[in-house]
Amino acid sequence: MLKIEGVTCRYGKVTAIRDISLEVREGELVTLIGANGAGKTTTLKAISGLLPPAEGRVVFAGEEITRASARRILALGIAHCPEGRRVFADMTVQENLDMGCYLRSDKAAIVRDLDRLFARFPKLAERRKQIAGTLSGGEQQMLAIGRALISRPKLMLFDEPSLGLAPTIVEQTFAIISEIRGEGTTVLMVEQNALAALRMCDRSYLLESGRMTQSGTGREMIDNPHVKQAYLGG
Amino acid sequence: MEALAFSKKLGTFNPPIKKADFLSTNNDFGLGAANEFKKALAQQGVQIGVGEVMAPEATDLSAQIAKIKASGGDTLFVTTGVEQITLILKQAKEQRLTARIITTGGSSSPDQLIQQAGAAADGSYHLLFFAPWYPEAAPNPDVATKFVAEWKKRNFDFAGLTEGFRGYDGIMTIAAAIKGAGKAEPAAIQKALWDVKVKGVNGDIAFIKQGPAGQESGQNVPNVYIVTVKNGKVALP
Amino acid sequence: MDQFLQHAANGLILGGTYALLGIGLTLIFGIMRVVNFTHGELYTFGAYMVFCFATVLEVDFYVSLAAAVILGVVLGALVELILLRPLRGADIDTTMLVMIGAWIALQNGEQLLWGGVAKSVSHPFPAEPLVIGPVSVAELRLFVILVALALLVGVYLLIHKTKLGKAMRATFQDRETASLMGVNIDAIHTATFALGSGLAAAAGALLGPVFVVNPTMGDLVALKAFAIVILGGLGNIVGATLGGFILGLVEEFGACYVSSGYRDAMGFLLIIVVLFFKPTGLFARKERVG
Repeated sequence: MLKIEGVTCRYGKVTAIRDISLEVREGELVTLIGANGAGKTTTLKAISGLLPPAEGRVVFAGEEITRASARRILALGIAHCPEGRRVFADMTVQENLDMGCYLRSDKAAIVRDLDRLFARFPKLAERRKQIAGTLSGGEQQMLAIGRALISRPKLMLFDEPSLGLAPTIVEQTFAIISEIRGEGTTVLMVEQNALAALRMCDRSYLLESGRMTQSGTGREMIDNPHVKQAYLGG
Repeated sequence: MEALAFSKKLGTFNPPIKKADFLSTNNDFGLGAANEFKKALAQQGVQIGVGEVMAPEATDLSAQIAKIKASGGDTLFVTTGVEQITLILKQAKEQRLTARIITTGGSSSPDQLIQQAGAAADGSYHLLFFAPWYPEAAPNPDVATKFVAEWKKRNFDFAGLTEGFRGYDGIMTIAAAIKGAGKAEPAAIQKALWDVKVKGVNGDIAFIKQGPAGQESGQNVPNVYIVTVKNGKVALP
Repeated sequence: MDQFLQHAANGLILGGTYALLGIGLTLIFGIMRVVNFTHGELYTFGAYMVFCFATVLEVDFYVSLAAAVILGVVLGALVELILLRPLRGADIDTTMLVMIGAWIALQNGEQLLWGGVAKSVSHPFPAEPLVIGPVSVAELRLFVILVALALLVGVYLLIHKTKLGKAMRATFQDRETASLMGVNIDAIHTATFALGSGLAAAAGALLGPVFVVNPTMGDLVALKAFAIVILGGLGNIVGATLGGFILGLVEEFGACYVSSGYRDAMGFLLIIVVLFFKPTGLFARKERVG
């Protein structure tokens, strides 16, 4: 479904990722693990059009999207749920969700999808008119996920969904991501919490200093001595 | 000098000026004129009301006009450029300011005012140093008539005459001084200026000494003309 | 008391047009982070356009107003597309210099086209004022304030209720995330600059007939618009609106009860006081558009 071939990204003269290749097949939950600054977020940005690659190719559903705009990539069905939630803090919950529907024009279907979303996240329904900046961290995470989900993506990119959240909320968040995947949406997730990420994924890639160093199924990665030693605490 | 000349013509106004307010642009030209007029008018027994000022580029003068209206003078002396005079005439009408408006400084170009302010210009008075509509009424009618005729022959804008004569008089004065000096040396020309007597468009030009001894400035008592606007035309009061 | 009421009426009418100028500038400043030195020129441009249509071509006054605003929007869009879009990502000094250059070029262009002599704009309103008790107001000024209020409400609704408005606010708050939502940031910038310019042109088109039109009429006005933006808080439309009215009233009452010589300085004095006690502006909770 998504294929990245030999992608290199630079911020000015600094190379953030070099020659990355990975693949996500339809229906899979794939994770990208690695330390801080390894290039995980950059990889997601290269996919969603925020940072077009300097070299290499990105292909989604048979179409090359290497230099496509973020808008085009979203329209093709990739939603990016960014690191740190990034809800529009001065807008209401409803307005944030409206932004998630920005490219959609099927009004009746949007209403149905919103109803389903509110059924899934009753807290958001309660706080529909509340300013997003006043929500708790967990509620903001639900809003960020809801905002990405409401665009009806085929592939969802999650960037550090557990970051800065209380342990119970982290569990809840991972459960929701598994649920989304269970409903047929393909997921590519970046996560620092390597053990949790490897347990829930089908396959995983390890990024180190901007390069892809290991890959395999979740089980294989957990058993990989290098991964075990460096990322799973021995 | 203008104020002094004007105060001799107070009889022109009927009903007479009893209480005067001032609105002037916030620079030497405006503030200086307001001060001179206040002094000259006070000497003639005219009561002095408020003295309002405005930035030269200000467009909304409603605050000043409201205050002047509240002061209740019968005459408002305005000293500024023609653009602000236009605004003042319009905005005075908007606020029903009934005081007679007299502009000083000769900068009012009544023709331009009539064109810009329309009906709002009616009833305003303007102090001019030259009234090109009536060159025959000038102290040197032959000079004035000739000047206006030349101006028209060259297809210059008639409205420019009220200012344009200044250049002519100035150059004629300098020419006379150079002739008097007999040589083109600054010190000699400067000295000769004190003895110049020129028949100018404004009137007879000659300088009197004013100020502390040794650093006097040369002042000329100008002729002042008062014109008014009646039914969209310049008229004598 | 009579004088007080007259001053209050004058101040409110003046404030309405200040508000119009302020919100245009605050939007551009807030969303694009561009210090728009051409704002005053768009104001001047609006005034000249209504002069050209209403006085020179003798087109219907209301049609002339609409045409002036539309052309202001178009000119704003062109300035954005030609000057600002290539500078996206350039440092603020470069952008500022280019905008100052555009300001000078536009002002001189106006002088070249229409000359330095002020023009009066013909309008269908009577010269005689409307008298309400002790207050007299020109009908033209009443018309101006009504249109200004309508535009203020319109812009508020645009920003808060429409898809475009939401996209503008989202872009202001978080450009990257907004683009992840599918917002075309370039288009939002052009729309914002065009809208802000249109509002400046509207203010000029409305005030041109009240005052006179000349090439430098926008300078003082633009300075005041900056003061209003600072007063109201960056990107805050409601703040800019209130800021506009406050400035109008402060100027009016300051001129009356303090000294008319400092009338145009009042606003800036107010800014100093506000910034001293509340550096983010009078109405800013924090930076925002809305």
